[in-house]
Amino acid sequence: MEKPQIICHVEKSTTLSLFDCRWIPCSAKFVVLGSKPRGTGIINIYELSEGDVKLVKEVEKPKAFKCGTYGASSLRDRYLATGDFEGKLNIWNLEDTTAPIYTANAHKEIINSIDGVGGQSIGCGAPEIVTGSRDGSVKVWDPRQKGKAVATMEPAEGEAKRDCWTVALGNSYNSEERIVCSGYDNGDIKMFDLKTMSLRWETNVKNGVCGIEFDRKDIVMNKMIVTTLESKFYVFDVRTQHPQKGFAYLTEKAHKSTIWLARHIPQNRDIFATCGGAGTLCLWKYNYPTRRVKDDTDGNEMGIVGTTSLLQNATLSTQPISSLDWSPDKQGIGVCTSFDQTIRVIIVTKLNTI
Amino acid sequence: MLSCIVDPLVMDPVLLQKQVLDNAEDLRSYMQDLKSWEADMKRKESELATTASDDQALPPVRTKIKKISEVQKSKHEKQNEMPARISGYDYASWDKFDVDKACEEFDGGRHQESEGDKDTVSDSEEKQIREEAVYEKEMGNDLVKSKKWKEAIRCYSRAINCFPYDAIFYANRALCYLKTEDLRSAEADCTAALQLDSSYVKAYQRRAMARAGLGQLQEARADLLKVMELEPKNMASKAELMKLEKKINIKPQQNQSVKEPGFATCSKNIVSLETDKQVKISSYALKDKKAEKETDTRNESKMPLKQIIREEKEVSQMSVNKTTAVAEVKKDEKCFTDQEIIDEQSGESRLLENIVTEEEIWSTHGEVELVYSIHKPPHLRSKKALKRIEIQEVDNHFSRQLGTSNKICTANSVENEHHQITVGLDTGKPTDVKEQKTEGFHKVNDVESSKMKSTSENENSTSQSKVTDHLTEMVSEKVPPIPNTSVQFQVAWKKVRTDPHLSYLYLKQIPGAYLPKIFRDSLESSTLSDIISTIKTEFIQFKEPALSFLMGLSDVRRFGALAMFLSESDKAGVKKILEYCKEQGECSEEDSIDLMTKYELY
Repeated sequence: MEKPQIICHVEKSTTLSLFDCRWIPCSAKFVVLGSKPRGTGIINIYELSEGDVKLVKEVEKPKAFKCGTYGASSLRDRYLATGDFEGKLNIWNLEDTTAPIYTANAHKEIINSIDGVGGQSIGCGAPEIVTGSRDGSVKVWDPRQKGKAVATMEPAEGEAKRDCWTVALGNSYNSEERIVCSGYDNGDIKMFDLKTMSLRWETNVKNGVCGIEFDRKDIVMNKMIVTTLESKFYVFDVRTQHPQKGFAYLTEKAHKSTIWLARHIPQNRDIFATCGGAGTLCLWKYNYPTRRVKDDTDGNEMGIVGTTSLLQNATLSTQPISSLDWSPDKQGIGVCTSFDQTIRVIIVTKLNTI
Repeated sequence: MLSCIVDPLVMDPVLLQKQVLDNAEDLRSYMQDLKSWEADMKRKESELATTASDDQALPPVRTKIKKISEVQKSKHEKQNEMPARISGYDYASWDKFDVDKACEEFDGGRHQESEGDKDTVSDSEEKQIREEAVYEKEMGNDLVKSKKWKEAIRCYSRAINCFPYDAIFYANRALCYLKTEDLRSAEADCTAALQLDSSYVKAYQRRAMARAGLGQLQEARADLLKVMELEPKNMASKAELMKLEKKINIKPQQNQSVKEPGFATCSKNIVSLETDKQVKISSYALKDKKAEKETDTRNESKMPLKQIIREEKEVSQMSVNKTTAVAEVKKDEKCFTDQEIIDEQSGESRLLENIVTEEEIWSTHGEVELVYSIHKPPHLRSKKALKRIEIQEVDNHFSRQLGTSNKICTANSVENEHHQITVGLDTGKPTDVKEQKTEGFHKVNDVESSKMKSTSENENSTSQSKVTDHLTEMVSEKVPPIPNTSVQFQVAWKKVRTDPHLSYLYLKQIPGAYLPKIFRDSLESSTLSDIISTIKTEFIQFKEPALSFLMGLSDVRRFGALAMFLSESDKAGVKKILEYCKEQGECSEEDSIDLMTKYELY
């Protein structure tokens, strides 16, 4: 009986194609990124106020925005990093959007995914932004270094370039350690270690990888969720890496369609939501096994994966949910956008009693 | 829109109703909560805007870390050979790579480094400036790649403005200057780069190119030799050096063939000048009543080598190391003293230089030897580049001596002239012959002039011997005149620096405010420290005001870079001078603080 409920608190329909949404840290406001029908890029700022969302500001730029993050910006600055359809990485001060405070011609083609780290948690390394693009490369940027990536991961000359759909940062628990994980359209997942500048691990999950997220960015990497086409998602226990077998993982089927992304609750890393292609949203809980590590016959450590249980599901739309973001300041409140051009603020109750 | 899942097994209507109620209650309380949260967030957000910045020390940019660690790693590699790096996208190779082991190794190395890394993180402000400068440099490099030299120069200049202590900026700008044929600026930039980094091979190469272009072949050769010393395998420089040496070797040979006729005209007892050096002496030609030929020695078409030389054995005995040509001519009403001392700076002097001293009173002395200018057709002229010649002055004392001994001449006006004459050679490359000429202009009373003529004859012999005796003394006592350029200063300073008193006298006469104008941007740190030590010892001893010198020096361009190279003893010297200035009451507290920062005494 003590199941959480998923409630659609506010529904706001727009005339935009919406691609991404983010809560502005330390506020009751969020931004949505997208494009107008004529192809221009839009950043809209909405504010939650008494059961409604109000448009605070609209910013229009020549190129459509695909994705954005506040991950690499401090709470004081709250600069939004965006990737657009032209492959440009921009950082905006939303107080004054006449010109970006940082700009880089990051990629030759659309930036599909962006993630940032280092801005909000102190002592967890430099602020860095990672971008993944259709041109097959994954690049790491430091806002302090103008115009040039600090690290680039791309296929070798002659190798086929796969469309990179998603990137995620993690393992940033001190000023040196950092991991970038990227997912590609052919099902490849690659894990790069930024400290040693090397490929740490890779695998293939057979279906295109739509979304990757670590449960936390600023801890020793613990869990990673990979969502794919064809209604499957994977939970990897990334604490323990076996020399041959890699990471232990489980597979779960859900949504009966593409799972676009997974998002962990910022206040509880073991609860996460997945968003499906049919407008459904599922809330999951990960249960740890009694022992997380065992020794194999050669004496190497091997991880043991736990289980997931479905807490709740809800159908919010008839169209795929393309983005979801949980508020970092208030547990149980999130915002999502879907391809029916609608912004939805959702509330999940009873999260504190699970 | 409410969506709640009802467990199908629980069909108990009471329970069902309770759950619906519970859920509604939950939601209601959440909504309540949400409202207060919204208000709370608004307040927090407004607070956020006003909170002071809490600057936390961030780790350096990743590419920078890499560079630092690579340096340290290379040290590491010497101890245990590390395997070659596998590129980030060589996925196949990474399969075989034992990551954990590598990480462990890396961790081990990292711990040792962590101490050193702290330094690089500190002083974030300077780092920011430096990054700004590096960014400009990168822009400049891109422009260089696309051959936009002028724009690149602008970028590098901005970089230098931001952060003037990086040799690379200067060297890169020098390249652009080379490309735009601005050889002097290129040379200056290379020199600046080398002051910051004396082992910067590219700067030597570029300076050699600039100097070769300017015709300073020996200097260019010295630069290239330095390159070979630093990088023995540098083939380009080797080839360049060969070319240059060929160029240098051709010249003296040609010279020798032309030498003979020049000497032929010089008689034995005339102390001859070394024509090999192609010294052109311009001396004032004086008109004589006896229709002595007037020769304009500045006329470049002629060989303006004119010497009026008196045969006096004592004089020729003196002629040891320096070429001193002293020509003095007296007229009835006017008495010209024209002396020129020419110092050959060349290191490869095969012949001794001469001192020629002469004094001629035209009416009384008949034994006059004239050295006429030699006119050579262009094809016979030397192809050798002209050398810088330093000219020492002896006239002031000389004429004074003369005045007192004769008691006839009263020096009405003594005029110092510093000429910088550029003499064109047939090679077409201009070289400066520096010449300082002083004219002592004595007016002699008409009445006394006749007396002079008679007395001078008998007195002359005595005065002459006196003069020559004193001459040696006077030269050593000589304080060079106020310089106009840093070259003049350097030449004079080279002479006086060994004698602290002389260097004090020399410095004293220069107004401190002129120093930036004199040095422009070629003050060297060794000279600076010499000056500081002179001021410290001598000025304080004689209670001379020293503040203007400190101010003047600090206003010299690029003084910031020089201040960085001040040794501890120099800094102590500056401090001492400042204290002394304060004692003397010529230095206010603000000035002192200002100077302290300029000299980086903190």
